[in-house]
Amino acid sequence: MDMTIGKRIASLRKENGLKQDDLAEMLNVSAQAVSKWENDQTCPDISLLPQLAKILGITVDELLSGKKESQAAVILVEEEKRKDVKDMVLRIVVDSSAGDKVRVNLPMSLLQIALDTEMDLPQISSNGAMKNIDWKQILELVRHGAMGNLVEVESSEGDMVRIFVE
Amino acid sequence: MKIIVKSQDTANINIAVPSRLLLNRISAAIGSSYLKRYGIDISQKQAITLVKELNRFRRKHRDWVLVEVQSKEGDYVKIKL
Repeated sequence: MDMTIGKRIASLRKENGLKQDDLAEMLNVSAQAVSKWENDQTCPDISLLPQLAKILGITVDELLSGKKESQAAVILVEEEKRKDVKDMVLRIVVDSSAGDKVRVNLPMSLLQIALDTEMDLPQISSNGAMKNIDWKQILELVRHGAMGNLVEVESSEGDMVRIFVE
Repeated sequence: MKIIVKSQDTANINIAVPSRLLLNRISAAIGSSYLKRYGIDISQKQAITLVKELNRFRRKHRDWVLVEVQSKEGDYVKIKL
């Protein structure tokens, strides 16, 4: 289901733990203006887009198109700039060849707990492309500062699985 | 926790369940014994740890979209924390 720009702003604002008032104050606009954006009654002024995107932690292109650029890049974050694993998110994106779409957004800490306590990880999906993914290796990469699109698998049936960490 | 189901054929369903009702020690214990029947070995202690972490995350990220599924037929399911 395609999200409108307003819904995207609302969703990202909530993900960042901001209230409409907070966002309005950061952008020097009224809370009513933010409310109107989120309800798709108006759109943010073009001059506000770079600052808005920065606050929401995405690029202007991602804000306008809804397509995540982070899916395409892997970055290695320096030790002092790394976030706590508890504040990271593991996103699993499955696009099946039949046209079904699955998005799972898990706190990275859940995977960390599961692996640290040697939990028998349940099969996340019966999707063939998901099998044999080395979760320990993924967690190890994250602990060493790797972020972004860590895994991209295309099964012989045409299913596409992407795992990325933010 | 909110569960939203939108279907082409039937009326939309919005279910709001108090998260504490699902994410607590008792439900974790029930869940772990239930999963064992399906060959997924998660101890009660591990399940409680996971639930605690989910609660911590939920407090920090209100309305977090945990799962979003869209079928090719246009049916849509979203689970928010």
